[in-house]
Amino acid sequence: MSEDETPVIRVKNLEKIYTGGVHAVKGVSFDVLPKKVVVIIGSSGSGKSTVLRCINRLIEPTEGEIFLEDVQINSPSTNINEIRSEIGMVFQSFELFMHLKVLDNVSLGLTKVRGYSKEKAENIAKDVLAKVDMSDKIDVYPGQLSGGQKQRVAIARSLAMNPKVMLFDEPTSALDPELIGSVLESIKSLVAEGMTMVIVTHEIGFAKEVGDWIIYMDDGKVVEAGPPEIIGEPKTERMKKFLGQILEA
Amino acid sequence: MKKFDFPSLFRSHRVFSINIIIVICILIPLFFVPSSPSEEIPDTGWDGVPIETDFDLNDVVTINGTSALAIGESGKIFYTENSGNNWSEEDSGTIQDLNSIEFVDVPIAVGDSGVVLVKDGDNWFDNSIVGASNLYDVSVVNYQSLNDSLVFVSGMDGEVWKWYNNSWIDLSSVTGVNSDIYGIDFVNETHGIAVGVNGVIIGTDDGGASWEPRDVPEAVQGFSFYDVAFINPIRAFVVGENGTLLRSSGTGDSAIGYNWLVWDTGSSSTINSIGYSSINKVWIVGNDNFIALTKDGGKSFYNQSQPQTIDTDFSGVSFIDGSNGFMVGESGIALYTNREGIDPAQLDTAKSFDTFWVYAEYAYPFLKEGMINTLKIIFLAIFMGFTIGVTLAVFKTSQLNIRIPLSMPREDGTWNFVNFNPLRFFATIYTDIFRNTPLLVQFFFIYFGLVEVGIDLTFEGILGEDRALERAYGSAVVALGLNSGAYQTEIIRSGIQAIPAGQMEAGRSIGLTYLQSMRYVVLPQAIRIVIPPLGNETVNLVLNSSLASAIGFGEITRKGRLLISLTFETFWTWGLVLIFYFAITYTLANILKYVEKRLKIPGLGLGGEE
Repeated sequence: MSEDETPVIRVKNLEKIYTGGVHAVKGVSFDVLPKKVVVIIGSSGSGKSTVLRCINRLIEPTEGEIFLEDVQINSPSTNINEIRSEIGMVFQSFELFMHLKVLDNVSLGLTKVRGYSKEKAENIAKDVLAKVDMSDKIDVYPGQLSGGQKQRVAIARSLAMNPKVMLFDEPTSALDPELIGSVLESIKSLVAEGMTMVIVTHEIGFAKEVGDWIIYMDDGKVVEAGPPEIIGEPKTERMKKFLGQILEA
Repeated sequence: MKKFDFPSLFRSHRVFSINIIIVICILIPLFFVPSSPSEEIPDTGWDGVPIETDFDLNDVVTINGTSALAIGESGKIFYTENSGNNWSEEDSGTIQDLNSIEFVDVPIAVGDSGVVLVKDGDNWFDNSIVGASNLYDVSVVNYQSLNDSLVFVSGMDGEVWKWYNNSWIDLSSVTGVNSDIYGIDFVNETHGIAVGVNGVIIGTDDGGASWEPRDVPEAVQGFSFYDVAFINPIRAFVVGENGTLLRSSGTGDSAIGYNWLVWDTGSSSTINSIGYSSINKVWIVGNDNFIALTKDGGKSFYNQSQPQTIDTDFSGVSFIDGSNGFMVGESGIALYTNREGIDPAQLDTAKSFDTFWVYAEYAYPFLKEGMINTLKIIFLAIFMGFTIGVTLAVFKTSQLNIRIPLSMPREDGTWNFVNFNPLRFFATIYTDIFRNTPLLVQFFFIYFGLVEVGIDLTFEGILGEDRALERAYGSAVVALGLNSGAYQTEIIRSGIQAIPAGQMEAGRSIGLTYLQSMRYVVLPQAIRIVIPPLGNETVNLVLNSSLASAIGFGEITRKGRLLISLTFETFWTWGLVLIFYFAITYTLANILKYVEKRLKIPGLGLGGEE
């Protein structure tokens, strides 16, 4: 990775201690460069989702600094709502707005946050829904979609806001195996367009394919980080063991 | 029984038809239970107890349940102590016409040419005013003995006299009136009102030392007023020509008698006299056989019947309690009642109700009015409760925390904090209070209590004087709305908490603020989920609205009570009231079912898939 580019996201010495006293993240630092894909892997409870949620402050960091380009996200003077509209987030459990039709799910942020007219918002929404191949479902409720379709709508919802970076929190974990493919395809097409991303996933093969930088986390710390090749030849015992378990399953 | 042929709409909804059957089950006994037995119900509300004289009687005073004194032309005074069965003439010592009598410890009567008579023991004692003309009314404020008493009299050409310190004081020059003053009444030593010919109403706040004219409503200007009753510091009535009744009400310290409103008596006869047993229960009598009673302070008058067939002008009425009273009129006519003057058989021209239909026709206007009033309070209260419910539910689920240090910092410099959420604190106190106290007491507190501390629920300040609500109406809406608000808060809160936290996170993640996420993402789903419990609460609210009858609001339960006091048909009345309530709640429940169905969204809530 070249050093002369300004990172889109910079995480510095991130610490998170939950109210119950659980020390979930212990001094994590990494940069996300423009048009690059950072993939975070690790076993459950390793703190990777916490790191992701600290980036758009759905979880309040305890210590450390997080920047979106040159704006410090976790500073009290930052307008967090504005920052969040610049950062797309895709959840493991989709979290589509159940009471809104697909088109309204995607256009809600455009009308209420960006202040666009209904017509303009719906046009943008239709465009991004076409990108994820959901044009034929704009008029149905999320409850009538399959898991894979829901996740593609969720991707479209984030994409519609034209974010500077997109965060994926285990986007395929809640899907049946046969539905995973279509979601991964949608993400791959975004990669091809040069979208900057941070992805938390269990799909090792996918991580290897789209990742420009792999971070392996365990017990709240970054154990190993490097280009996708490290998945082929892990240096640490812990990562080796983790990969072994994944491949077995 | 013939099988009912419901339209297919009914048959297709089993629940619907079951409910119809319930209604029919209530209706059937109404039809078959006969009218309550009417043994020995008197024909009229009043019994004739005539006095053997041809002279006109001018006034009467009831001394106890069976005794009374009647006075009339040519100095006539008659006394009875057996409900008017026998009248004995008393020696008045005068041949002047006597016009008015009052009884405060002793009877005092006034008449023409300044005659004032006081009954001392068995004899009438002359305390006439030298130089006075005809006296028309007397008001006794107190009487210990002749030289320790306070009495006011009014008369011809604006004369007003005051008996005080054992002498008559002439106040005629300070009244500012030189026409006849027919009525005078003092509520205490200082506050009095006098009324008379040509629309005169004057008042004093200083024991008669000065008088000032009071505003008379335009509709009755120039009418002659014949009697005034200053019942207590919050209510006074004036009666006069053309069926006129004026009422003035005040609250607390504010003096009354300044503002008079015209109330409908339903009569155009001249009204001569007022009798009362409380501020709400008032009898008025007048020319052309007119007798009417109100039990609600003048809002509605019901004409009473009496055995007199010839057209009689009644001149005086007097009640000692809520049921025993006398009235007198022309040519020795005297009447007595021990039943408020109410006569069950004569209340309606349809006489007694032979069948349920006849009764239902009579009851319908009462129950319809009650139903409209019930609907008014429940719709306003539902709206108010829902607004409170949504607001406080958002308060209760809010994440706002103020960190309050518990004590001095620890040795390592960190502090012990307790998290305090003022919004949740407020909402919790509110719901705890309203859900842990009886609704009836809340009604009493809001209706009787708040007015004491100056909170006026007539909303006069907002709606303006003309459109101000009846206080019982405003209080009923507020009490029901506040109470329902507490329950709706809990229901909507549970709905909000049933929405996965991820929905809020998703809303925040696209840049919506907390309140926007609440408004556009969480609440629309939460409220859909809680429509069924909200429906239950709405039905509860309708049923609870019957408690408004306890503060005197004329909703359907109160109208039922009124009907029973008029007809004694308890089974039919309460049966009909039940059906009216059922009709309201059942309709409401169906509307909510429809709304729920319309708002249903696939995948939201249990059983969401179609």
